[in-house]
Amino acid sequence: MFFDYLMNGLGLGAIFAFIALGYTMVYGIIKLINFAHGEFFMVGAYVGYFCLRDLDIERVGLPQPLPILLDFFVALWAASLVAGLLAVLTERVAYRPVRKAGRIAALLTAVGVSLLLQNIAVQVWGANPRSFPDPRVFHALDDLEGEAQANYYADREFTTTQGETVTEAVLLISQGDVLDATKRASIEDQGFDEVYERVTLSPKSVQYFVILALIGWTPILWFLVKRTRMGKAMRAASEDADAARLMGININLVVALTFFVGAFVAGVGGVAYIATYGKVEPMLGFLPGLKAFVAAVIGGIGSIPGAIIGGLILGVAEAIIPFVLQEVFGWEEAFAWKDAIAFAFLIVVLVVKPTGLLGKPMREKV
Amino acid sequence: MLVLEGVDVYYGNIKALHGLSIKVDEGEIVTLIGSNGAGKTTTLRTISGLMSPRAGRITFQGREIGGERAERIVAQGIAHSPEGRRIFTDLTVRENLDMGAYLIHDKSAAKERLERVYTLFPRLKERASQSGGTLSGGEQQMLAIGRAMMSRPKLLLLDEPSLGIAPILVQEIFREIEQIRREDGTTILLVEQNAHMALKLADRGYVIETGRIVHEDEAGALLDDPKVREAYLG
Ligand SMILES: Nc1ncnc2c1ncn2[C@@H]1O[C@H](COP(=O)(O)OP(=O)(O)OP(=O)(O)O)[C@@H](O)[C@H]1O
Ligand SMILES: [Mg+2]
Repeated sequence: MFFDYLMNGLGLGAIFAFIALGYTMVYGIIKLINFAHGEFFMVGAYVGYFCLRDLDIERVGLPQPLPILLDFFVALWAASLVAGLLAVLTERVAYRPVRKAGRIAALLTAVGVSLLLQNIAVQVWGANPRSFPDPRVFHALDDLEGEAQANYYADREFTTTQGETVTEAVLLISQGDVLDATKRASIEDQGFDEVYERVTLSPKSVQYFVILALIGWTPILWFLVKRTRMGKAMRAASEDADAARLMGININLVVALTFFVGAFVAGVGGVAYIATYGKVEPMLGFLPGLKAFVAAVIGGIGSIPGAIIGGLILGVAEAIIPFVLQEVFGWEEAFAWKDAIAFAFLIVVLVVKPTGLLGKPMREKV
Repeated sequence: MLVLEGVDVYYGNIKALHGLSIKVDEGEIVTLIGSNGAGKTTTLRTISGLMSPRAGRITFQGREIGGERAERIVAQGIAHSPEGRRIFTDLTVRENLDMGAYLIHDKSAAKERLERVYTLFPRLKERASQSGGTLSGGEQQMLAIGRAMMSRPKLLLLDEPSLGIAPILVQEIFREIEQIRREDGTTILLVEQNAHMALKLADRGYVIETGRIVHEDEAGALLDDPKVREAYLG
């Protein structure tokens, strides 16, 4: 029981960590709290959603579960890539022009970009939540025989009274049905020679995935920041932009790259998030974005390991503290208060350690 | 090699340099002396492209560079060791030096530069893996100069290398500056408040007051000039 909550917390925390990285990297280099970062995450989640729903990568002729893994692999890369490019574009058109106008102007711009992206998402994709597309395993009708092992579906297009074309899944064979000649014929009559079963991802498998993904990404980021020429340039520019320019470092390039990497990893979190919560919607970036920002502050904003640790701590705190309050102290409503608990936790950390766990003491720039 | 003609520079609406003209010939050590707030740092920041002149011309090796971006100017052979050292305290000594060679893509050339800088400042080699922030002030100054030398500059701009450093280390650093000119053939524009040391090292000098050049002469002549002695040599 406790272990389950711990895993929940780590899974959630890994998602926070993936988002918090972008906040902390961008803050580190231009001292901007990028309020639109949650929207990069949201757009990444939509891209992942459309890949999973429409690309039909599950159809590739490989033994299971490879097609499903490939499906997610492609969705993750697409989500990350688009989120990264959106971040670069946003930086170029919205943030760079105000970079010298002071921090308040930049912050307001970020809030504006955040609202703008939310609104665009509502206009383009609609305000209604869409449910997460479960991966599918396709079967040729001819390959199936005997008693059905699962529910089998096929997609049918039909036109609504408003004239919209909608795709709808039709249940053709229920689990346990015997697929005899009449049933087969009736399905073929409806025009289907192929059916699919849906694979429901267990929350556990998503948790394991996102935790493993974080474990995989941490050394990659470490290498990127510590060992590569660009990573060193990034650290140099975040400490002293003018001195970095004197080295020949192109600050604009470094800033763009930082935005790209930060949003790229947020894309991973985006796909994991919609797989965990089962839906995607335009406002999806708001709360996780805010909490990831909290995580970045807890870890010490500007610090990359801080973002990872802060994310994990916040996720675990959000899962464990209500659990303890409920089980040990008998407070039945503890789980309803989990968001408030997360923010209370932030306040406690900041009172005890104002710079966050791994943050450096504030240095006034001369 | 470097010529500034009638350069005006502003901070917002405040004019910091008033029609400043100086020149530095190849192989020279030229010093710019003056009291607090005279505009020495502003002059160097304008040459290295951190600030843009609003009027006047800056040419380097016959090419107009006024207002070009800093990262382009360093590529043309001007390195700037800024006031207050401005080393990267979170990076190791070695990484600081690597940043100095940021534009050198040839690995063996960068390695050669590193060896050269380690020869000039052996302490940096001893402390290569230490983070820059843990160095003493004098060592940080060596690192700032070494970092600037990594790009194999034709012209080296030095802003107050003696600032806040023990006299014995200052002497060591000035010896290295002399050595850089002699052995690397690097031309040097040195800004100093320590006018005595600067003039003893330099070939020529300029005296700057509130953004204007008020004297220029051979270094030895400035050292003997009674007005200069009174104002800057105590
Ligand atoms: N960031 C700034 N904003 C506004 N004014 C500035 C700024 N930096 C310098 N100034 C002004 O420009 C003038 C020249 O300053 P500068 O730093 O070039 O002097 P300096 O000769 O290097 O002095 P010091 O010996 O103290 O380093 C001064 O009047 C100073 O107050
Ligand atoms: Mg100065």
